[in-house]
Amino acid sequence: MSEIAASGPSVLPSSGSPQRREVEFRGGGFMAVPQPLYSWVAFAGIIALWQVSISAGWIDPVFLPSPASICIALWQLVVSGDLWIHMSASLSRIGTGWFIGTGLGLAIGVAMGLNSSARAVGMPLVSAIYPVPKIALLPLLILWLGIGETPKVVTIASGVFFPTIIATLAGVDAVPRNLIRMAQSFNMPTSGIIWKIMMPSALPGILSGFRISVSTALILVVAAEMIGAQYGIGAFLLTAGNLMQSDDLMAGVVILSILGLSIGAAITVFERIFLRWR
Amino acid sequence: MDVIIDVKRHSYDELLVLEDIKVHVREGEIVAVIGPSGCGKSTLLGIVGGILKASEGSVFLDGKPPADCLNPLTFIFQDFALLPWRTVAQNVGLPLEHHRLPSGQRNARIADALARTGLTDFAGALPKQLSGGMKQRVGIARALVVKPAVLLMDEPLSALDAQTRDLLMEDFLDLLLRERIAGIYVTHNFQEALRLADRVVVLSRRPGRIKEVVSIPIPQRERTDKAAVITLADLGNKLWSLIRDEASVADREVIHE
Ligand SMILES: Nc1ncnc2c1ncn2[C@@H]1O[C@H](COP(=O)(O)OP(=O)(O)OP(=O)(O)O)[C@@H](O)[C@H]1O
Ligand SMILES: [Mg+2]
Repeated sequence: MSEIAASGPSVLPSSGSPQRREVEFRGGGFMAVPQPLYSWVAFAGIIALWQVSISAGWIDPVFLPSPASICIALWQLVVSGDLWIHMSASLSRIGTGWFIGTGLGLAIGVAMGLNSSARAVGMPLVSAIYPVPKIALLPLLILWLGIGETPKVVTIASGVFFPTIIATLAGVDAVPRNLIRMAQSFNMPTSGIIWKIMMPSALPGILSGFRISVSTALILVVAAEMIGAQYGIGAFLLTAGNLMQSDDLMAGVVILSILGLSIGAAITVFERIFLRWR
Repeated sequence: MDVIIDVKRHSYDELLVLEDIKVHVREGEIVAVIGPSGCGKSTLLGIVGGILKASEGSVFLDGKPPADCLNPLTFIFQDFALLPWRTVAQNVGLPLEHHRLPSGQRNARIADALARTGLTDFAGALPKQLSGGMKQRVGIARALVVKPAVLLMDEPLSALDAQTRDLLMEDFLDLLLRERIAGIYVTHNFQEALRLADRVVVLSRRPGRIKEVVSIPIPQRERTDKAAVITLADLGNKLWSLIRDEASVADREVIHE
């Protein structure tokens, strides 16, 4: 009886058994743990090491300019107004090309997702042209459209168009069929099914397609501007390279990095707003 | 409104799934359909609700639907089929959006459906914030908002845990009886069938044929009484013996797809 009384819910046997040992922690599945401090310290450390190796004369600054001189070059770009001239040229090309490519890509992607004949016609064409690096089309486009803004914008648009079609198509294909059947069971008209069920449901896929298409647009604008443009980040980089102004060159790279990061952050904000339901 | 089911045959390509299903569901009647896995229960319900076309045979409606009914045959889904980007109230309002209704009437219908399923306080919540039981309440409210004549339910409780299932089933039954809504209720679980149904249609293993139709002669409101226990237990044994052999053979079949 006393044994039963002693084994109440909160009474543990007192230690003393020689076989008693603690269960060890065996690992939590390699979960990623955020460690922002590490990121900042490492980043600052690399910059500092870089600066020191140049100040100490270990590296030739023509070969690799110091962080400080890159900052100065950036600052001069800002105060002279050159930054704005090049940025606005590049951004307007990206903007126009991206909107045209995205608009057409969305429309055609949805059409191919909904209509089997459109898919049968479009799929081989898309598959054949998608893998072609679109910058290869620029000379052809210049031949067709003349030099000037149009061939650059069309190159960017075509680079954006194909990944958008593919992301949209995948998004539409991934719409849960049970949701469509549900809508049909309430006699919802087809237009309602497209706008109220399919588009919102495909949105996450479409937005992650935007991430890809924006970085494609960035690559293409630089490449196109290197081939033939007076203004633009790509043109600026090319000139700086030709003149061996490595600090300007690196400043251009930093600008592109900041540009890419900002666009990515903008898409993240977009996703936070429109995909709150996930 | 009556539903007259006369499905002579249904097959998916070569696979014969249903054969010779004749059932007459009367106004306000609750009919459960039980049968082993893969015998064609979901297929049958899809055909009745017009989201699948029978290879041969038809389904008819007879009589007038209730006043302000917008969708006589209305589904409640096993996986709830809620739109995750819409709030509870917006999900419930979805089936009204393509009907011309004054907005006052629309809002009144939504509020009423939410109230009857106990969701009024959750009108602004997103589906991901709700438990499984609450999600299915949203599914039920969305069905009630169109004032259906017949509810078509494909294992509506099987995604839920046992306690939630029991709670929801009582609420559900209450609604069906109070509004006199007819129901076709597909389930694996013959306890659910015994609790809800006026009649139980037992299907054989695939190809599903009607093996027997069992009537339950006790009104639903009296089935929890002590006096009913023995009769219901007998009926339960009967149902189990009808599907046991079918189920054990069906379970051992290899799926060729
Ligand atoms: N779209 C389809 N194409 C081909 N075969 C299908 C299709 N849908 C169902 N089947 C097959 O038809 C048979 C009946 O399916 P159904 O879903 O109607 O059965 P069920 O009785 O509802 O099964 P469960 O108890 O598992 O829900 C199954 O063997 C299934 O594999
Ligand atoms: Mg089923």
